[in-house]
Amino acid sequence: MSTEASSTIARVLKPTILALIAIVAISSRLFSIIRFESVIHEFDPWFNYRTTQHLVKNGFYDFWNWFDEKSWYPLGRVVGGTVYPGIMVTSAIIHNVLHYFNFPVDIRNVCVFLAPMFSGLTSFSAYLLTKELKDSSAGLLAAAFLGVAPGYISRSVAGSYDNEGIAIFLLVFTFYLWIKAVKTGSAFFALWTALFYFYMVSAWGGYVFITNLVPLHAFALLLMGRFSNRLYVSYSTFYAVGTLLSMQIPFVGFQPTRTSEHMAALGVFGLLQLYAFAELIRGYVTPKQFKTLVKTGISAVAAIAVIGLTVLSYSGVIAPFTGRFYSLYDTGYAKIHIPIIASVSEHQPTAWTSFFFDLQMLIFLFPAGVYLCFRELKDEHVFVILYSVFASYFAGVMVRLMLTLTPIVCVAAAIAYSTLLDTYLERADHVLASNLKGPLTRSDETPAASGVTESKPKKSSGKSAAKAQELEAKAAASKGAVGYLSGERKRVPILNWDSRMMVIVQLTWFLFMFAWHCTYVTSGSYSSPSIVLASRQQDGSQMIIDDFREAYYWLRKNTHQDAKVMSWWDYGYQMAGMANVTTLVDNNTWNNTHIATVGKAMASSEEVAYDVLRRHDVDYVLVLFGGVIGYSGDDINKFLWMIRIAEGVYPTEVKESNFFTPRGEYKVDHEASSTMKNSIMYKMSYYRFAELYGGNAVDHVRGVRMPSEGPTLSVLEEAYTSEQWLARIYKVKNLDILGRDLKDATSFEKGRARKTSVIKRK
Amino acid sequence: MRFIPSTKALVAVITALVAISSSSLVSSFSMDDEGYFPGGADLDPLVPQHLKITNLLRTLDLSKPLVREITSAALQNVAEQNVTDYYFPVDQVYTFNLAHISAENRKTKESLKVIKDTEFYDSEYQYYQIKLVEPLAPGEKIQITVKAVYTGMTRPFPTHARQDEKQQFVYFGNPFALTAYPTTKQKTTVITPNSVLEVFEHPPESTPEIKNNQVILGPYHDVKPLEHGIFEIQYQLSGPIYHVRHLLRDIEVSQWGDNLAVEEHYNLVNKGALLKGQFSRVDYQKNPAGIRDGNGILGLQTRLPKQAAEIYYRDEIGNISTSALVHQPKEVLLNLKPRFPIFGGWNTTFYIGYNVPLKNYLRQVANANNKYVLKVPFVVPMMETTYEDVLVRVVLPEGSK
Repeated sequence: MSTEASSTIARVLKPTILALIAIVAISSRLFSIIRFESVIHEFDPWFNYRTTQHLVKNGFYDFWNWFDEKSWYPLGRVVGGTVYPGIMVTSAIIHNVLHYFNFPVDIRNVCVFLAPMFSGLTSFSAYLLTKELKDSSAGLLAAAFLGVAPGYISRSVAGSYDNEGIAIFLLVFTFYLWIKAVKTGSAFFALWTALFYFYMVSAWGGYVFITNLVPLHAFALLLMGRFSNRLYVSYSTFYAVGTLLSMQIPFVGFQPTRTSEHMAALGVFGLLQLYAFAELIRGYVTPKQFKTLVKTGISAVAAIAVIGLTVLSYSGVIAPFTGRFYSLYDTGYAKIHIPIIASVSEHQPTAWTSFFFDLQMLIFLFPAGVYLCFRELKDEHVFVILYSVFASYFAGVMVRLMLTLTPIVCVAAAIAYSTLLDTYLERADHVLASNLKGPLTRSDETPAASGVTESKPKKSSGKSAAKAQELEAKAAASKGAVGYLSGERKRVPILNWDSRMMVIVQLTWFLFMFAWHCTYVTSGSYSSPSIVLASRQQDGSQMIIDDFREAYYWLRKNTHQDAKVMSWWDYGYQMAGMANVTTLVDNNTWNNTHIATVGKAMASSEEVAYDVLRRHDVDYVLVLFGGVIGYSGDDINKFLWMIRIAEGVYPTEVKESNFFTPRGEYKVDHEASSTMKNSIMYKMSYYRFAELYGGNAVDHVRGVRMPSEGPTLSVLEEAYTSEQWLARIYKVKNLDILGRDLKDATSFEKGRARKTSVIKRK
Repeated sequence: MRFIPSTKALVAVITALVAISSSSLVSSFSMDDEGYFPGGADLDPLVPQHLKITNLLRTLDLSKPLVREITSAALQNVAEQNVTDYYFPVDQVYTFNLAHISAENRKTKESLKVIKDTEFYDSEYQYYQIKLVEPLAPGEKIQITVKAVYTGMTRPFPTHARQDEKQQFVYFGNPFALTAYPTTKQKTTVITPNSVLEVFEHPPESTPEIKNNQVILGPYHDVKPLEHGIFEIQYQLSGPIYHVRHLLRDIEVSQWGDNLAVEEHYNLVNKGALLKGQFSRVDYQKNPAGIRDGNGILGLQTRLPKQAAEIYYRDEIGNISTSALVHQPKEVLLNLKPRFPIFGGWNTTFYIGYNVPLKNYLRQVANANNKYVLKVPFVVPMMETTYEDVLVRVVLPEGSK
């Protein structure tokens, strides 16, 4: 096959393959739609969906100024100033464009399908990024990997309408633009980097990753002696424009100038200016003068910067790192100081198995890809190496950050994989021919190789002649080592077909396994909407457990319009979205004290809790109870976190140790401690539970037999319990009309005499 | 316009010309709690007194939430000339509750034409003119049965009932069959679903005869036209009272796609006795019989055309997974189960929709090029359900006039 013919075919094949990859990426995210329905998943997406509805219905300015009095009762929440509006605005624009062209697509469907659609774009940007690092065949592999990698799918299935759904695309695309900018030194690309950085800032709090990684890259290049005008132009443009733009998001505001997380970017910006200034001076003074100038100048500036930063930090102008960032350094930090962060499962340290689970063979290819980057080590490869190192660390600390690791793993693995293919698929006559003709004839490698030869001299321009020579020698040496790409070294082709076959067959087999694993994981683990559960009946037919929506819809339809419902914060967003009731706390978790108050109420006895409930105008209390069907994510299992969070704020009133048995066990059966048994959480969960089984009840989550005499309630009454008992709603009783204690009133109504202890005391 | 959703009820079919774009209907009227006692003024009937009722049998069927009144009268022409019309009076206040009226010849089972009379308008009574097929010669006799169905004539009493309690209803009405003509002899049989609890009746001289689930009033002799009395009965009626507060029915015509898309938005209420206290799942689950015979709406059934495709059942927060389709020779039965049992006073909203081929419902007007006639059911009623507010919207293809 001649090179001309193959390039023509490639020109047709590449877009086709990319389109197919996008289709695969989108369709593998549709499991939940096919199995269940087009519905918003989980918790945070419900808030995003609700705000998007508000935006579409009331327009942008109303959304911007929206004060939501239905959440965080009685405090309320300034929604416009406390959200990353990127995803809502994106959906609203798509919705409005479609409606402009008379496609009456429901906003729900726009929201549900947003993340899969963006995953197609993400794989395309992975292609672009990898193409800049190696070549387009590696790019196609990277696109395919990223399209189906479970680590990314976990946050972008249809219905998972969360910030990450579009943020990963923005992350990859911003990095692509940054690399392009550094490579070309074009202010145009740097400007686009800044624009997409702005989009990223508007979409996800994870933008801080870009804010720190890009300066780090610039800084590393500076340390490696690779300062160039390209770097100067691209970084200065990016920083200046990007920072100004990012400050337009109300939630970010003045953070780029005032918080520690953003200081690195500012510092590198200053450093680059100084370095550029020094380079300018160098041209006008003698080397000796220059040395003294640099020595005094650098030390002075460094001293001023350090002193300035310290003073500003201590005086409070620059805020210290937030708790979330500390927990990235010290995994034990959150557990002690901010239990609310530690209580979220996605903030837990990653188990090693999940690396394999989420990335399968990519995790083995990943180090190889990074190694190959070291061999090449151009400016962009430095970036990949930095990205890999930091993302690996973060992914190890927090499960959730697996998401930022996945793109670079896919890119690095694609480089490694395509190098293997290059080596083993190359036809012997090609290699021989290239050896004969010289290094620069192979069509697909020409740009990369010529890029190497062109860029090296540029970098050394302006330096002393000796240094330049030295560099050139080094470059030549490195080129020799980089045989996998430039093909300069005379290589012996792998001629025997059997050894080639073995490797190729094995690699193909890996690919099959990878695709199978990805589909398996996506279908089995990441496609459950979590508001609808599916289980099998005894005869094998599917049973849908729809208890959450049952309870939420009951609240929506059969409670008065401004009913206040208290529940643990996990369900706040869902309740606001589905039940349309006023909630006390939700997944925003901005006010730890308020959450601790709810925790305290749940953990207290009826008398104490009633006081809290009355003060907060609570009408209903919702708890999740999985004891009937064995749903392990229920409130009793989360109860320890409620206690811990409450103890952090009310250390005298709630004590974790009181909830354990004398032997230090967390029990719910007859051995449970009296504090545990008296807490309203325990009472609400197990109220009349034993009766269901005629006094012989077994809690299917904890696997324990419950006492036959269940708890009694006097300040709360059962208002609704869903079909499988998953959601239990209790109504807070009004004060007794005869002014009695509610406990006495309940006893009286049940025909019991007042407790003898009360009489005796008198 | 009013619809009587019942097993035998006629399917209200209207022929909506293509020109109709939308029509809004407000129907039904809920009675005052205490009930207005009609017939206060002792008026003579306005209609011509050509007839005499020799014998009248009335059956008042209270076994369902809708009240069915069947009045069979033996008429005799007492005038000099032929009589062509028989007038059936209804108290003006109850005309809002009258859902359906039809008449037939009792012997031949021939159905007769019933017209809402406008000639003899009276503030107290609304007459329904029943056209006889053949004029009745002087002295001749004929037997005519009038069937009337009323909504909202009963009310729960006591107003609240516990989840496991049988709810009780009260019917308040006239012990006499209301006639426009003097009656020689008349008798009313009241049928209740269960044993009768209490009967309170005027005139006091006659004692009602109670047999199991029946109460026999009368026979009364020589009753004046438009005679009124007081009659009240309390009885048990288990099961929910289905009531649709709003129904929005969207019918979308797409000639381009040969498709008729129907979507119905319901707001369903249980008009039975309000739930006393709170709902307890344990009590509900421990007593399967209580679930069946309880007062909660557990499910309802609607009928769809045979060719209905892409049927869906959703509400504001998504698909409702509890529904079943039963294919029958002529239609598709859709069993809908709400997310939660709807007890007295509770409500829910949901919508159902489906697509059917348009060609079964649209035909071209003969000799006219671009004129079409669309013929669709106005409302497909559900069993024993009353409708308060029905809005039907017909969406026509773009550019149609």
